[in-house]
Amino acid sequence: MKKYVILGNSIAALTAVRAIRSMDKEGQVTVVSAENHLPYSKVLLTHYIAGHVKVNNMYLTSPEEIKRLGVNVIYGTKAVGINISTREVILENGRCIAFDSVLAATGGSPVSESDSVNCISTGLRTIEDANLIIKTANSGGKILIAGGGLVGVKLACALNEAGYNAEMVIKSGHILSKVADDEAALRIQLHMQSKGICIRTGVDIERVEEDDHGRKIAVLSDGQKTECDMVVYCKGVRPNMHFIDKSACDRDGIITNKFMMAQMPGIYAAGDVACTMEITENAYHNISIWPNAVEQGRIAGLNMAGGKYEYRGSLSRNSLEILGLPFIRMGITNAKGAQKELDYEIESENNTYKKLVYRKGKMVGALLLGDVYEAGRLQSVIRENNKKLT
Amino acid sequence: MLTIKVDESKCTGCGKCAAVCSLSHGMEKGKRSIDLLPKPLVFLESRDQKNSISICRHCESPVCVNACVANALYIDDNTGVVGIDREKCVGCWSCVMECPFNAFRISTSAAKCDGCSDWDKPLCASFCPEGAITAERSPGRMSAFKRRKRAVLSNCGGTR
Repeated sequence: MKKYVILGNSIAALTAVRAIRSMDKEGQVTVVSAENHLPYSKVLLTHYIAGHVKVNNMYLTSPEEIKRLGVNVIYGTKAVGINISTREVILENGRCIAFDSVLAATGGSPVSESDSVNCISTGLRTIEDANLIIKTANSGGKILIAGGGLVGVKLACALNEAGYNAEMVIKSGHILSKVADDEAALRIQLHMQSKGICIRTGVDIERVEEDDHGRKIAVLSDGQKTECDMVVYCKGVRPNMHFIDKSACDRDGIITNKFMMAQMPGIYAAGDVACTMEITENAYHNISIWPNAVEQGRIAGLNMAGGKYEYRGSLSRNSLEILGLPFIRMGITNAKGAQKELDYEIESENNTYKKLVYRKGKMVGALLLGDVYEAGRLQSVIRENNKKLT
Repeated sequence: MLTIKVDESKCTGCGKCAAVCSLSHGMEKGKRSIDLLPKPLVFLESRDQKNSISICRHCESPVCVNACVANALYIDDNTGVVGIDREKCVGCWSCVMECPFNAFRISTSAAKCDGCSDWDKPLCASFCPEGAITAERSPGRMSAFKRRKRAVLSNCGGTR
């Protein structure tokens, strides 16, 4: 009887368990969950804040399914190390669990600079974070969002939709600087501002101080001051991989091959903790998105149970709705260096913006704003154009 | 299990499929008004004198179900239909980003073909005069391999 240990308990872990059970009904599966409850969809947290979704609809599975899958879930603990020679996972409380194969699906934690501010501060990654944000907003507190990435934008929109006041403080020159080009970013920024969201670019939060009336005031790097009762850091996510030998990791994740195996036999990685081959960049990247986590979890699970399935490669892509304005981008959409190699095809109209990116005649990126219904077809074109000849 | 095939070169753009789709989904009693008819779940477009038909193929391993962050999309084990729970949908556009067949439209929540589960055959296929949309329900469970061979999945590239 094979022993499987799954570290983490979110979508990659859950899909892996389902995949293992589709092949191996007997094996002993242990899941190590840091959180004390059933896995829920972290992507829905901003929708939860906006009031679009009920808590009960956020769970990814049910106690019945866990029972049916025959999994032993250890709640409220983390792995601190993996002993390769004795093939054991070491938990926080010193307990060891033997394994034949182990999956690291521990996800990531938000980057936070909470030491530098003396007011409530948080990332947005757990339901507790979300509840804290709702509580502060409900009591009339002013929320400052540090970072203009996807989570920051979604959070600002969610708070706006729920009728609260939010202000974004973004270090770089424009919003969504990692995924959107200047034109799209400007359109999104103007759209958000027209809905009443205050966006400051090119500045950072220096410190938070108290004024004479006891109000918290954030001082920005350009000297401006703004009221602030809470700072939410949306400055990206670092993979939780402290338990893995550093030689198997890149700066942004555990490097995996096409079978989702790390550079140690029997150890697999999937989801936000894994570095996989990105097909348009042709390099290892950590692409922390939901559909990739699902696919990687399934491939890892099938291979752990003895299969030999190949992962088709990650494609960096995002979709979001910005207060009525849909936005989808995939592949290379914001190339900084090596611009010369790329050709662009741009269709720009009043309410829609579309940009296709080609490299040597092959489509490597697409950005759609306003009208996004072409996205699915464009994705299959990009995948087809960037297939590896093996 | 349901297999839908589309041959766009046969489509004349007559719109019968969309009309019967809308009618059959608006047949509840006491609700008979043209204005109350729901939007069709098969989407016709014509561009550069070419007609395109966008409809869900009810894939064996649907990429949209993988991508749905709200757990709103599911595969019905009995009928093989890819269904949607519109209560759960949050309108995040992930399914639009994934589906190579362009089978989704989003207003407040996503809408897609429901496979006309209470009919012997999806009505769009039954009424298409040119045979541009054809559908087949096969009895019992077919092996994944066989079904994949039968369904038109050439540019879907879904996971296994």
